[in-house]
Amino acid sequence: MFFPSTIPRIDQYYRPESLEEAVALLASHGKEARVLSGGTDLVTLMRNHALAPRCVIDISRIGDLGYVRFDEAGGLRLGALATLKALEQSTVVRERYSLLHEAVVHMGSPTMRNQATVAGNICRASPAADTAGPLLCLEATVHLVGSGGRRSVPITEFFAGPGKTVLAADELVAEVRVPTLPPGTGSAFLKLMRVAEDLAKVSASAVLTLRDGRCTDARIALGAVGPTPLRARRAEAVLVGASLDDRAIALAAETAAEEIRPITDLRSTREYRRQVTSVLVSRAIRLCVDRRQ
Amino acid sequence: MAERIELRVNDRNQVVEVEPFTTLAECLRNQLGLIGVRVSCNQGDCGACTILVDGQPVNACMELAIEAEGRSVTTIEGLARNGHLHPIQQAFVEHHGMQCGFCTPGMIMVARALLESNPAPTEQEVKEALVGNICRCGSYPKIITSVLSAAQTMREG
Repeated sequence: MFFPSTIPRIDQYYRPESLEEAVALLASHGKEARVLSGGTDLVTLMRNHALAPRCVIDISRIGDLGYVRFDEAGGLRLGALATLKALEQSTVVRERYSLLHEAVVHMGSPTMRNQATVAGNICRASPAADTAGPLLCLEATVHLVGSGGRRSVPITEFFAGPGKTVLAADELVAEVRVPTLPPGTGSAFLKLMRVAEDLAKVSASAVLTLRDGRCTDARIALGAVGPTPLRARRAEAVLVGASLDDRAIALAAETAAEEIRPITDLRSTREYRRQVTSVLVSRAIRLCVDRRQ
Repeated sequence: MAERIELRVNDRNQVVEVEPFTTLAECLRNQLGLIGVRVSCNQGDCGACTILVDGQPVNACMELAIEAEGRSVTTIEGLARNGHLHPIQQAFVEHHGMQCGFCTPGMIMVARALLESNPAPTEQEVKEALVGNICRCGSYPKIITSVLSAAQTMREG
């Protein structure tokens, strides 16, 4: 593949010092503008001439947005500039949201994880975005700030298509909030890739809650098998109320493989993605059962 | 529109004129002559352009020069002190942690950041730290030996 070596001309570069200033800039530049934080996606897309914004708004120096905070009442809060590395190093993420930790440690290289942010990963809206599956299973909410004020969107409604989100042209992600998980819950993230640091051929995320041997809540998300990262609702429905024996797990895995819409591309084929989706889903369910706390 | 920015590069203040679309790798190589910043894939896959910005490893091809305004940048050229190679560079020489040498600066910069935060890494930790750095000669075993040996030398002071 040929990669043009230079980035297309950018006329204006801004470095706002607050989210409000960034929103005002976005409002005045509209679709001509792109937001830059870690740059690992944006700079690459510009270099490959997939994007050629006239204006870049660099939010990377807005103070105090790199936080990863947790409290029992509010759950986990990730600031707009929280890097993948910050999540990787967070004890609370590792211990209480283990699927998010597992997703992050397999994303890109350690160097890239210093630069890349969680908010950037979801705003890029790649069907293969690795933080998306865990956040979908955790039923995170995305808190947005725009010229009209603030609003929050459940992450299950955030993705609108490949590379598309529900963000308006003058909106930015200010924070991602993740609720706490009930007792008896286990989680897992599994990713099939060609080599270390690659994008997923398929990823499977699961969060299951069990009580008295029966599944009371099931959330399964799949990556790189449809136009957006998606929840496998029918597979989830198979599990809720069931005791998680081999038969129920096999049925859920088979159902998940039926409800996806995979394509063939350079990383994998449609058929292969369908087959391994059922394998990953069944493994993820078993891991959740073993790990519940 | 070109802008004048100040960077601190290898402990010296530098004023450069950059366009908003100039990458840090392009600026360091073309304007400051720091050609130890190697550009290969130009999209963050190979790690050859790894430098340190405020002590953290960064792919210089994925960062705009203007983003680094006011930051402290370290390239491979900034590691030697008073004509003496840095212990990591010395270890790569002694253990021949390279073949063609193209990936070497990036490998050494990642190793520098690793040993700063973890002075006694295991072999596995070295491998994990270097996962984003590709060596197409396949010199990985000697690169890992070099990093482990440098760690020991640095610990012994």
